[in-house]
Amino acid sequence: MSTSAVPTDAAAQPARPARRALLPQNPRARNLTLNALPVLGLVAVWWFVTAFVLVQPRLYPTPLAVAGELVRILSGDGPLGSTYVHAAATFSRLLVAWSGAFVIGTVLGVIGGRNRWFFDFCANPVWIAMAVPSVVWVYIFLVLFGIDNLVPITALLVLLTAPVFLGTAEGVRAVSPDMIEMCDSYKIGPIRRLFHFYLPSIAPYLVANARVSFALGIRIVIIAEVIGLPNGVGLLVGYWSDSLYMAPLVAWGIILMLVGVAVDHLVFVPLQRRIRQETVG
Amino acid sequence: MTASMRLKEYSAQLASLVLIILGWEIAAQTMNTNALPPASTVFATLGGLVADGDAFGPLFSTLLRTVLGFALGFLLGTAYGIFAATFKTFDELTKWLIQIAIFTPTLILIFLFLVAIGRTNFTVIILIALVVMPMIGTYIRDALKDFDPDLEGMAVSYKVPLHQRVTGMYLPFLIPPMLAAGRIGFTLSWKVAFLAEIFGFPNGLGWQVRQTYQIYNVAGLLAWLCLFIITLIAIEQLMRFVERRVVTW
Repeated sequence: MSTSAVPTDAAAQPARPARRALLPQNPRARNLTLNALPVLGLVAVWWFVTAFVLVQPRLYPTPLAVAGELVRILSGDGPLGSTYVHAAATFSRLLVAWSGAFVIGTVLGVIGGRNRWFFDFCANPVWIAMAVPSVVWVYIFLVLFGIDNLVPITALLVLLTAPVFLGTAEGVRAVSPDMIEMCDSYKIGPIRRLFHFYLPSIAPYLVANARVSFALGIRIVIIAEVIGLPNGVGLLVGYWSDSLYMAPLVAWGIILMLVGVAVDHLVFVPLQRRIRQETVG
Repeated sequence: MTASMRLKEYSAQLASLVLIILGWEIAAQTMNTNALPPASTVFATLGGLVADGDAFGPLFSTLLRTVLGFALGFLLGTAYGIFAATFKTFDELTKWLIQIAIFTPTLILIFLFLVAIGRTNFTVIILIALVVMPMIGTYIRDALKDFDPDLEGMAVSYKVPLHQRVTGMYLPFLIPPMLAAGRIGFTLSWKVAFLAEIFGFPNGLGWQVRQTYQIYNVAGLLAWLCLFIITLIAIEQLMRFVERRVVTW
Protein backbone atom coordinates (compact mmCIF):
# COMPACT_ATOMS: atom_id res chain seq x y z
CA MET A 1 0.00 0.00 0.00
CA SER A 2 1.03 3.55 -0.60
CA THR A 3 1.46 4.18 3.10
CA SER A 4 4.26 1.72 3.55
CA ALA A 5 6.80 4.03 1.95
CA VAL A 6 6.34 6.69 4.59
CA PRO A 7 9.33 8.97 4.73
CA THR A 8 10.92 8.46 1.32
CA ASP A 9 8.76 10.63 -0.94
CA ALA A 10 10.95 13.72 -0.66
CA ALA A 11 13.39 12.40 -3.25
CA ALA A 12 10.65 11.92 -5.84
CA GLN A 13 9.39 15.50 -5.67
CA PRO A 14 11.90 17.60 -7.64
CA ALA A 15 11.42 15.72 -10.91
CA ARG A 16 7.83 16.86 -11.34
CA PRO A 17 7.81 20.58 -12.24
CA ALA A 18 9.95 20.14 -15.35
CA ARG A 19 7.41 17.76 -16.84
CA ARG A 20 4.45 19.85 -15.92
CA ALA A 21 5.96 22.93 -17.54
CA LEU A 22 5.65 21.24 -20.93
CA LEU A 23 1.89 21.38 -20.67
CA PRO A 24 0.06 24.58 -21.51
CA GLN A 25 -2.80 24.02 -19.07
CA ASN A 26 -2.90 24.68 -15.37
CA PRO A 27 -1.32 21.43 -14.09
CA ARG A 28 -3.69 21.07 -11.19
CA ALA A 29 -6.77 21.35 -13.37
CA ARG A 30 -5.20 18.97 -15.85
CA ASN A 31 -4.56 16.35 -13.21
CA LEU A 32 -8.06 16.66 -11.85
CA THR A 33 -9.50 16.15 -15.33
CA LEU A 34 -7.26 13.14 -15.79
CA ASN A 35 -8.41 11.74 -12.44
CA ALA A 36 -12.08 12.32 -13.05
CA LEU A 37 -12.44 11.35 -16.71
CA PRO A 38 -12.21 7.55 -16.31
CA VAL A 39 -14.66 7.66 -13.40
CA LEU A 40 -17.14 9.63 -15.47
CA GLY A 41 -16.56 7.22 -18.33
CA LEU A 42 -17.29 4.32 -16.04
CA VAL A 43 -20.55 5.89 -14.91
CA ALA A 44 -21.49 6.46 -18.55
CA VAL A 45 -20.81 2.81 -19.38
CA TRP A 46 -22.79 1.74 -16.33
CA TRP A 47 -25.71 3.92 -17.41
CA PHE A 48 -25.57 2.62 -20.97
CA VAL A 49 -25.43 -1.04 -19.92
CA THR A 50 -28.22 -0.82 -17.37
CA ALA A 51 -30.43 1.29 -19.62
CA PHE A 52 -30.09 -0.64 -22.87
CA VAL A 53 -28.42 -4.04 -22.41
CA LEU A 54 -29.36 -5.49 -19.03
CA VAL A 55 -32.72 -3.91 -18.42
CA GLN A 56 -33.68 -5.31 -15.04
CA PRO A 57 -33.68 -2.41 -12.58
CA ARG A 58 -33.93 -4.59 -9.48
CA LEU A 59 -30.76 -6.57 -10.17
CA TYR A 60 -28.91 -4.07 -12.36
CA PRO A 61 -29.77 -0.64 -10.99
CA THR A 62 -29.25 2.42 -13.15
CA PRO A 63 -27.08 5.29 -11.87
CA LEU A 64 -30.25 7.34 -11.47
CA ALA A 65 -31.90 4.72 -9.27
CA VAL A 66 -28.79 4.58 -7.12
CA ALA A 67 -28.72 8.37 -6.87
CA GLY A 68 -32.35 8.26 -5.76
CA GLU A 69 -31.47 5.71 -3.08
CA LEU A 70 -28.54 7.88 -1.98
CA VAL A 71 -30.93 10.78 -1.44
CA ARG A 72 -33.31 8.51 0.47
CA ILE A 73 -30.53 7.22 2.70
CA LEU A 74 -29.25 10.72 3.35
CA SER A 75 -32.73 11.90 4.27
CA GLY A 76 -32.76 9.19 6.94
CA ASP A 77 -35.46 7.05 5.35
CA GLY A 78 -34.86 3.32 5.65
CA PRO A 79 -36.83 0.08 5.96
CA LEU A 80 -35.69 -0.67 9.50
CA GLY A 81 -35.82 2.76 11.11
CA SER A 82 -33.70 5.84 10.57
CA THR A 83 -30.56 5.23 8.56
CA TYR A 84 -28.68 7.65 10.78
CA VAL A 85 -29.25 5.45 13.82
CA HIS A 86 -27.74 2.50 11.97
CA ALA A 87 -24.85 4.55 10.66
CA ALA A 88 -24.15 5.92 14.14
CA ALA A 89 -24.14 2.39 15.58
CA THR A 90 -21.70 1.25 12.93
CA PHE A 91 -19.34 4.18 13.30
CA SER A 92 -19.32 4.10 17.08
CA ARG A 93 -18.33 0.42 16.89
CA LEU A 94 -15.67 1.22 14.36
CA LEU A 95 -14.27 4.08 16.45
CA VAL A 96 -14.18 2.13 19.69
CA ALA A 97 -12.51 -0.87 18.09
CA TRP A 98 -10.10 1.20 16.04
CA SER A 99 -8.89 3.37 18.91
CA GLY A 100 -8.60 0.35 21.19
CA ALA A 101 -6.64 -1.53 18.57
CA PHE A 102 -4.39 1.45 18.03
CA VAL A 103 -3.47 1.76 21.71
CA ILE A 104 -2.99 -1.96 22.33
CA GLY A 105 -1.16 -2.52 19.06
CA THR A 106 1.19 0.39 19.69
CA VAL A 107 2.08 -0.67 23.23
CA LEU A 108 2.69 -4.29 22.22
CA GLY A 109 4.51 -3.12 19.12
CA VAL A 110 6.98 -1.03 21.13
CA ILE A 111 7.76 -4.05 23.30
CA GLY A 112 8.00 -6.28 20.23
CA GLY A 113 10.34 -3.86 18.52
CA ARG A 114 12.71 -3.85 21.48
CA ASN A 115 12.50 -7.50 22.41
CA ARG A 116 13.12 -10.01 19.68
CA TRP A 117 11.79 -12.93 21.69
CA PHE A 118 8.48 -11.20 22.38
CA PHE A 119 8.15 -10.39 18.70
CA ASP A 120 8.71 -14.01 17.70
CA PHE A 121 6.28 -15.08 20.38
CA CYS A 122 3.60 -12.81 18.96
CA ALA A 123 4.36 -13.61 15.33
CA ASN A 124 1.98 -16.54 14.94
CA PRO A 125 -0.98 -15.15 16.91
CA VAL A 126 -0.68 -11.82 15.10
CA TRP A 127 -0.54 -13.58 11.85
CA ILE A 128 -3.54 -15.76 12.63
CA ALA A 129 -5.47 -12.68 13.78
CA MET A 130 -4.86 -11.04 10.43
CA ALA A 131 -5.36 -14.08 8.24
CA VAL A 132 -8.68 -15.19 9.68
CA PRO A 133 -11.50 -13.23 8.05
CA SER A 134 -13.56 -10.94 10.25
CA VAL A 135 -16.69 -12.98 9.75
CA VAL A 136 -14.98 -15.99 11.26
CA TRP A 137 -13.99 -14.00 14.34
CA VAL A 138 -17.62 -12.97 14.55
CA TYR A 139 -18.72 -16.61 14.47
CA ILE A 140 -16.22 -17.52 17.17
CA PHE A 141 -17.18 -14.63 19.45
CA LEU A 142 -20.87 -15.18 18.83
CA VAL A 143 -20.46 -18.69 20.08
CA LEU A 144 -18.49 -17.46 23.10
CA PHE A 145 -20.40 -14.32 24.11
CA GLY A 146 -23.84 -14.82 22.57
CA ILE A 147 -25.45 -12.04 20.56
CA ASP A 148 -23.96 -8.87 21.94
CA ASN A 149 -22.51 -5.56 20.90
CA LEU A 150 -19.21 -6.90 22.16
CA VAL A 151 -19.00 -9.39 19.30
CA PRO A 152 -18.27 -7.12 16.34
CA ILE A 153 -16.12 -4.83 18.48
CA THR A 154 -13.92 -7.67 19.71
CA ALA A 155 -13.68 -9.09 16.21
CA LEU A 156 -12.57 -5.76 14.81
CA LEU A 157 -10.21 -5.21 17.73
CA VAL A 158 -8.45 -8.50 17.04
CA LEU A 159 -8.16 -7.80 13.33
CA LEU A 160 -6.98 -4.20 13.63
CA THR A 161 -4.49 -4.68 16.46
CA ALA A 162 -2.36 -7.02 14.39
CA PRO A 163 -1.26 -4.60 11.62
CA VAL A 164 -0.69 -1.82 14.17
CA PHE A 165 1.56 -4.15 16.15
CA LEU A 166 3.61 -5.06 13.08
CA GLY A 167 3.94 -1.46 11.91
CA THR A 168 4.99 -0.16 15.32
CA ALA A 169 7.52 -2.95 15.83
CA GLU A 170 9.04 -2.12 12.48
CA GLY A 171 9.21 1.56 13.43
CA VAL A 172 10.82 0.89 16.79
CA ARG A 173 13.39 -1.34 15.18
CA ALA A 174 14.29 1.45 12.79
CA VAL A 175 15.19 3.77 15.70
CA SER A 176 18.92 4.19 15.44
CA PRO A 177 20.94 2.27 18.04
CA ASP A 178 23.15 5.32 18.53
CA MET A 179 20.27 7.21 20.03
CA ILE A 180 19.47 4.40 22.44
CA GLU A 181 23.10 4.27 23.43
CA MET A 182 23.03 8.01 24.01
CA CYS A 183 19.96 7.63 26.21
CA ASP A 184 21.73 4.92 28.15
CA SER A 185 24.85 6.97 28.71
CA TYR A 186 22.88 10.06 29.82
CA LYS A 187 20.75 7.83 32.08
CA ILE A 188 17.43 9.01 30.69
CA GLY A 189 14.42 7.44 32.41
CA PRO A 190 11.94 5.22 30.58
CA ILE A 191 9.10 7.76 30.52
CA ARG A 192 11.15 10.64 29.14
CA ARG A 193 12.71 8.22 26.75
CA LEU A 194 9.30 7.17 25.46
CA PHE A 195 7.98 10.69 24.94
CA HIS A 196 11.13 12.44 23.78
CA PHE A 197 12.83 9.77 21.73
CA TYR A 198 10.67 6.84 20.75
CA LEU A 199 7.40 8.57 20.00
CA PRO A 200 8.85 11.32 17.79
CA SER A 201 10.94 8.90 15.82
CA ILE A 202 8.15 6.40 15.27
CA ALA A 203 5.46 9.04 14.67
CA PRO A 204 5.39 8.51 10.89
CA TYR A 205 4.84 4.81 11.48
CA LEU A 206 2.06 5.52 13.96
CA VAL A 207 0.19 7.71 11.50
CA ALA A 208 0.66 5.13 8.77
CA ASN A 209 -0.71 2.46 11.12
CA ALA A 210 -3.70 4.55 12.05
CA ARG A 211 -4.37 5.18 8.39
CA VAL A 212 -4.04 1.58 7.24
CA SER A 213 -6.08 0.18 10.11
CA PHE A 214 -8.84 2.72 9.63
CA ALA A 215 -9.09 1.92 5.93
CA LEU A 216 -9.23 -1.77 6.80
CA GLY A 217 -11.72 -1.19 9.61
CA ILE A 218 -14.24 0.72 7.54
CA ARG A 219 -14.25 -2.08 5.02
CA ILE A 220 -14.70 -4.92 7.46
CA VAL A 221 -16.96 -3.37 10.10
CA ILE A 222 -20.08 -4.15 8.07
CA ILE A 223 -18.98 -7.74 7.53
CA ALA A 224 -18.91 -8.15 11.27
CA GLU A 225 -22.42 -6.72 11.50
CA VAL A 226 -24.22 -8.82 8.93
CA ILE A 227 -24.51 -11.79 11.26
CA GLY A 228 -26.69 -11.65 14.31
CA LEU A 229 -26.87 -7.99 15.26
CA PRO A 230 -29.98 -5.87 15.74
CA ASN A 231 -28.62 -2.72 14.08
CA GLY A 232 -25.87 -1.20 11.95
CA VAL A 233 -25.20 -0.64 8.29
CA GLY A 234 -24.31 -4.31 7.93
CA LEU A 235 -27.85 -5.28 8.88
CA LEU A 236 -29.31 -2.98 6.21
CA VAL A 237 -26.91 -4.28 3.58
CA GLY A 238 -27.82 -7.86 4.43
CA TYR A 239 -31.51 -6.96 4.30
CA TRP A 240 -31.28 -5.49 0.80
CA SER A 241 -29.16 -8.36 -0.44
CA ASP A 242 -31.67 -10.89 0.86
CA SER A 243 -34.53 -9.09 -0.83
CA LEU A 244 -32.50 -9.02 -4.08
CA TYR A 245 -32.74 -5.26 -4.40
CA MET A 246 -29.39 -3.92 -5.50
CA ALA A 247 -29.85 -0.14 -5.75
CA PRO A 248 -29.64 0.62 -1.99
CA LEU A 249 -26.78 -1.85 -1.70
CA VAL A 250 -24.75 0.06 -4.27
CA ALA A 251 -25.76 3.33 -2.60
CA TRP A 252 -24.41 2.14 0.76
CA GLY A 253 -21.25 0.96 -0.94
CA ILE A 254 -20.76 4.42 -2.42
CA ILE A 255 -21.38 6.11 0.92
CA LEU A 256 -18.91 3.91 2.81
CA MET A 257 -16.36 4.32 0.04
CA LEU A 258 -16.73 8.10 0.10
CA VAL A 259 -16.44 8.25 3.89
CA GLY A 260 -13.29 6.13 3.71
CA VAL A 261 -11.72 8.30 1.02
CA ALA A 262 -12.76 11.50 2.80
CA VAL A 263 -11.27 10.47 6.14
CA ASP A 264 -8.12 9.35 4.39
CA HIS A 265 -7.65 12.60 2.49
CA LEU A 266 -8.92 15.06 5.06
CA VAL A 267 -7.37 13.56 8.18
CA PHE A 268 -4.54 11.16 7.48
CA VAL A 269 -2.89 12.63 4.40
CA PRO A 270 -2.48 16.13 5.95
CA LEU A 271 -1.33 14.55 9.20
CA GLN A 272 1.24 12.47 7.41
CA ARG A 273 2.46 15.49 5.48
CA ARG A 274 2.84 17.54 8.64
CA ILE A 275 4.75 14.85 10.47
CA ARG A 276 7.00 14.35 7.50
CA GLN A 277 7.79 18.07 7.40
CA GLU A 278 8.50 18.13 11.11
CA THR A 279 10.85 15.19 10.99
CA VAL A 280 12.66 16.58 7.97
CA GLY A 281 12.87 20.18 9.14
CA MET B 1 21.31 -16.18 10.93
CA THR B 2 22.97 -18.77 13.09
CA ALA B 3 21.38 -22.08 13.99
CA SER B 4 20.87 -21.19 17.66
CA MET B 5 19.15 -17.92 16.74
CA ARG B 6 16.83 -19.71 14.39
CA LEU B 7 16.10 -22.30 17.06
CA LYS B 8 15.22 -19.50 19.47
CA GLU B 9 12.96 -17.91 16.89
CA TYR B 10 11.11 -21.13 16.17
CA SER B 11 10.72 -22.01 19.84
CA ALA B 12 9.21 -18.60 20.57
CA GLN B 13 6.86 -18.99 17.65
CA LEU B 14 5.83 -22.45 18.76
CA ALA B 15 5.45 -21.42 22.40
CA SER B 16 2.64 -19.01 21.61
CA LEU B 17 0.71 -21.63 19.64
CA VAL B 18 1.09 -24.20 22.40
CA LEU B 19 -0.03 -21.60 24.94
CA ILE B 20 -3.15 -20.74 22.92
CA ILE B 21 -4.17 -24.38 22.54
CA LEU B 22 -3.46 -25.11 26.21
CA GLY B 23 -5.46 -22.06 27.32
CA TRP B 24 -8.31 -23.10 25.08
CA GLU B 25 -8.31 -26.66 26.41
CA ILE B 26 -8.25 -25.53 30.06
CA ALA B 27 -10.93 -22.88 29.54
CA ALA B 28 -13.18 -25.40 27.80
CA GLN B 29 -12.69 -28.04 30.46
CA THR B 30 -13.46 -25.62 33.30
CA MET B 31 -16.41 -23.88 31.61
CA ASN B 32 -17.77 -27.16 30.31
CA THR B 33 -20.42 -25.69 27.98
CA ASN B 34 -21.62 -26.53 24.53
CA ALA B 35 -20.43 -23.15 23.36
CA LEU B 36 -16.77 -23.98 23.69
CA PRO B 37 -15.75 -27.56 22.98
CA PRO B 38 -12.24 -28.48 24.16
CA ALA B 39 -9.36 -28.35 21.70
CA SER B 40 -8.97 -32.12 21.81
CA THR B 41 -12.56 -32.66 20.59
CA VAL B 42 -12.11 -30.14 17.81
CA PHE B 43 -8.89 -31.69 16.63
CA ALA B 44 -10.47 -35.13 16.81
CA THR B 45 -13.29 -33.85 14.58
CA LEU B 46 -10.73 -32.36 12.24
CA GLY B 47 -8.83 -35.67 12.21
CA GLY B 48 -12.07 -37.43 11.35
CA LEU B 49 -12.74 -35.04 8.48
CA VAL B 50 -9.28 -35.59 7.07
CA ALA B 51 -9.35 -39.38 7.59
CA ASP B 52 -12.74 -39.75 5.90
CA GLY B 53 -11.58 -37.59 3.05
CA ASP B 54 -14.54 -35.23 3.57
CA ALA B 55 -12.17 -32.34 4.10
CA PHE B 56 -10.53 -32.43 0.71
CA GLY B 57 -13.46 -31.65 -1.58
CA PRO B 58 -14.33 -28.26 -0.03
CA LEU B 59 -10.67 -27.49 0.62
CA PHE B 60 -9.63 -27.97 -2.98
CA SER B 61 -12.59 -26.18 -4.49
CA THR B 62 -11.82 -23.14 -2.30
CA LEU B 63 -8.13 -23.41 -3.01
CA LEU B 64 -8.66 -23.63 -6.76
CA ARG B 65 -10.79 -20.49 -6.86
CA THR B 66 -8.32 -18.68 -4.64
CA VAL B 67 -5.32 -19.59 -6.75
CA LEU B 68 -7.01 -18.66 -10.04
CA GLY B 69 -8.35 -15.37 -8.70
CA PHE B 70 -5.05 -14.51 -7.08
CA ALA B 71 -3.11 -15.31 -10.26
CA LEU B 72 -5.36 -13.04 -12.28
CA GLY B 73 -5.21 -10.23 -9.72
CA PHE B 74 -1.46 -10.57 -9.35
CA LEU B 75 -0.84 -10.37 -13.10
CA LEU B 76 -3.12 -7.38 -13.55
CA GLY B 77 -1.76 -5.69 -10.42
CA THR B 78 1.89 -6.10 -11.43
CA ALA B 79 1.16 -4.86 -14.93
CA TYR B 80 -0.69 -1.90 -13.49
CA GLY B 81 2.14 -1.10 -11.07
CA ILE B 82 4.75 -1.11 -13.82
CA PHE B 83 2.60 1.02 -16.14
CA ALA B 84 1.69 3.49 -13.42
CA ALA B 85 5.31 3.90 -12.37
CA THR B 86 6.46 4.40 -15.98
CA PHE B 87 3.71 6.63 -17.37
CA LYS B 88 2.72 9.58 -15.22
CA THR B 89 -0.44 10.20 -17.24
CA PHE B 90 -1.62 6.63 -16.79
CA ASP B 91 -1.05 6.97 -13.06
CA GLU B 92 -3.17 10.12 -12.95
CA LEU B 93 -5.86 8.57 -15.13
CA THR B 94 -6.30 5.58 -12.85
CA LYS B 95 -5.76 7.33 -9.52
CA TRP B 96 -9.41 7.76 -8.60
CA LEU B 97 -10.42 4.40 -10.00
CA ILE B 98 -7.86 2.70 -7.80
CA GLN B 99 -8.96 4.74 -4.78
CA ILE B 100 -12.53 3.67 -5.41
CA ALA B 101 -11.50 0.04 -5.78
CA ILE B 102 -9.48 0.18 -2.55
CA PHE B 103 -12.17 1.78 -0.43
CA THR B 104 -15.22 -0.09 -1.69
CA PRO B 105 -16.33 -2.51 1.04
CA THR B 106 -15.57 -6.07 -0.01
CA LEU B 107 -18.86 -7.36 1.37
CA ILE B 108 -20.92 -5.09 -0.86
CA LEU B 109 -18.92 -6.21 -3.89
CA ILE B 110 -19.56 -9.83 -2.91
CA PHE B 111 -23.30 -9.34 -2.50
CA LEU B 112 -23.52 -7.39 -5.72
CA PHE B 113 -21.50 -9.81 -7.81
CA LEU B 114 -23.13 -12.96 -6.51
CA VAL B 115 -26.54 -11.58 -7.38
CA ALA B 116 -25.73 -9.68 -10.57
CA ILE B 117 -23.33 -12.12 -12.25
CA GLY B 118 -24.57 -15.33 -10.69
CA ARG B 119 -23.13 -17.89 -8.32
CA THR B 120 -20.43 -19.37 -10.51
CA ASN B 121 -16.74 -20.06 -10.02
CA PHE B 122 -16.08 -17.33 -12.52
CA THR B 123 -17.77 -14.72 -10.30
CA VAL B 124 -15.62 -15.58 -7.32
CA ILE B 125 -12.45 -15.50 -9.42
CA ILE B 126 -13.31 -12.07 -10.81
CA LEU B 127 -14.15 -10.86 -7.31
CA ILE B 128 -10.82 -11.98 -5.89
CA ALA B 129 -8.92 -10.45 -8.77
CA LEU B 130 -10.76 -7.18 -8.35
CA VAL B 131 -9.98 -6.96 -4.64
CA VAL B 132 -6.34 -8.06 -4.90
CA MET B 133 -5.36 -6.13 -8.02
CA PRO B 134 -5.36 -2.56 -6.60
CA MET B 135 -3.49 -3.66 -3.49
CA ILE B 136 -0.72 -5.33 -5.49
CA GLY B 137 -0.77 -2.58 -8.08
CA THR B 138 -0.18 0.24 -5.61
CA TYR B 139 2.46 -1.80 -3.77
CA ILE B 140 4.48 -2.43 -6.93
CA ARG B 141 4.02 1.15 -8.13
CA ASP B 142 5.33 2.57 -4.85
CA ALA B 143 8.20 0.10 -4.77
CA LEU B 144 9.20 1.15 -8.29
CA LYS B 145 9.34 4.79 -7.21
CA ASP B 146 12.48 3.90 -5.26
CA PHE B 147 14.13 2.66 -8.41
CA ASP B 148 17.40 4.45 -8.92
CA PRO B 149 17.13 6.60 -12.07
CA ASP B 150 20.94 6.89 -12.25
CA LEU B 151 21.13 3.17 -12.84
CA GLU B 152 18.74 3.51 -15.73
CA GLY B 153 20.74 6.45 -17.12
CA MET B 154 23.93 4.46 -16.87
CA ALA B 155 22.39 1.51 -18.67
CA VAL B 156 21.18 3.80 -21.45
CA SER B 157 24.52 5.51 -21.88
CA TYR B 158 26.33 2.19 -22.00
CA LYS B 159 23.76 0.90 -24.51
CA VAL B 160 22.91 -2.20 -22.53
CA PRO B 161 20.48 -4.30 -24.61
CA LEU B 162 16.90 -4.48 -23.40
CA HIS B 163 16.74 -8.15 -22.44
CA GLN B 164 19.90 -7.77 -20.40
CA ARG B 165 18.49 -4.69 -18.72
CA VAL B 166 15.35 -6.62 -17.82
CA THR B 167 17.13 -9.65 -16.38
CA GLY B 168 20.00 -7.78 -14.78
CA MET B 169 18.29 -4.65 -13.52
CA TYR B 170 14.50 -4.60 -13.47
CA LEU B 171 13.82 -8.16 -12.38
CA PRO B 172 16.22 -8.25 -9.42
CA PHE B 173 14.71 -4.97 -8.28
CA LEU B 174 11.12 -6.11 -8.78
CA ILE B 175 11.24 -9.61 -7.36
CA PRO B 176 11.38 -8.80 -3.62
CA PRO B 177 8.39 -6.39 -3.70
CA MET B 178 6.54 -8.82 -5.96
CA LEU B 179 7.05 -11.64 -3.49
CA ALA B 180 6.03 -9.49 -0.53
CA ALA B 181 2.94 -8.21 -2.33
CA GLY B 182 2.16 -11.75 -3.44
CA ARG B 183 2.22 -13.01 0.11
CA ILE B 184 -0.16 -10.33 1.37
CA GLY B 185 -2.28 -10.70 -1.74
CA PHE B 186 -2.65 -14.42 -1.36
CA THR B 187 -3.89 -14.08 2.22
CA LEU B 188 -6.38 -11.52 0.99
CA SER B 189 -7.56 -13.79 -1.84
CA TRP B 190 -8.03 -16.68 0.54
CA LYS B 191 -10.20 -14.46 2.74
CA VAL B 192 -12.29 -13.11 -0.12
CA ALA B 193 -12.95 -16.62 -1.44
CA PHE B 194 -13.99 -17.72 2.03
CA LEU B 195 -16.25 -14.70 2.54
CA ALA B 196 -17.95 -15.23 -0.80
CA GLU B 197 -18.66 -18.81 0.20
CA ILE B 198 -20.06 -17.83 3.58
CA PHE B 199 -22.37 -15.31 1.97
CA GLY B 200 -23.93 -17.56 -0.54
CA PHE B 201 -21.63 -19.67 -2.65
CA PRO B 202 -22.91 -23.23 -2.36
CA ASN B 203 -19.67 -25.15 -1.78
CA GLY B 204 -16.16 -24.87 -0.34
CA LEU B 205 -14.83 -24.25 3.15
CA GLY B 206 -16.92 -21.14 3.85
CA TRP B 207 -20.09 -23.00 2.99
CA GLN B 208 -19.14 -25.78 5.43
CA VAL B 209 -18.54 -23.24 8.19
CA ARG B 210 -21.91 -21.64 7.58
CA GLN B 211 -23.65 -25.01 7.55
CA THR B 212 -22.12 -26.13 10.82
CA TYR B 213 -22.96 -22.78 12.40
CA GLN B 214 -26.58 -23.04 11.36
CA ILE B 215 -27.05 -26.40 13.05
CA TYR B 216 -24.97 -25.11 15.99
CA ASN B 217 -22.31 -27.77 15.62
CA VAL B 218 -19.54 -25.78 17.29
CA ALA B 219 -16.93 -28.54 17.22
CA GLY B 220 -17.50 -28.93 13.50
CA LEU B 221 -17.33 -25.18 12.98
CA LEU B 222 -14.04 -24.88 14.80
CA ALA B 223 -12.65 -27.94 13.02
CA TRP B 224 -13.36 -26.38 9.61
CA LEU B 225 -11.84 -23.11 10.81
CA CYS B 226 -8.73 -24.93 11.96
CA LEU B 227 -8.45 -26.51 8.55
CA PHE B 228 -8.73 -23.05 7.01
CA ILE B 229 -6.01 -21.62 9.26
CA ILE B 230 -3.66 -24.59 8.96
CA THR B 231 -3.83 -24.49 5.16
CA LEU B 232 -3.04 -20.80 5.27
CA ILE B 233 -0.08 -21.30 7.59
CA ALA B 234 1.27 -24.08 5.38
CA ILE B 235 1.04 -21.92 2.25
CA GLU B 236 2.54 -18.94 4.05
CA GLN B 237 5.52 -20.98 5.23
CA LEU B 238 6.01 -22.31 1.72
CA MET B 239 6.00 -18.79 0.30
CA ARG B 240 8.42 -17.56 2.95
CA PHE B 241 10.75 -20.40 2.14
CA VAL B 242 10.62 -19.53 -1.56
CA GLU B 243 11.13 -15.85 -0.74
CA ARG B 244 14.21 -16.56 1.36
CA ARG B 245 15.68 -18.75 -1.36
CA VAL B 246 15.06 -16.30 -4.16
CA VAL B 247 16.11 -13.19 -2.27
CA THR B 248 19.44 -14.58 -1.09
CA TRP B 249 20.15 -15.62 -4.64
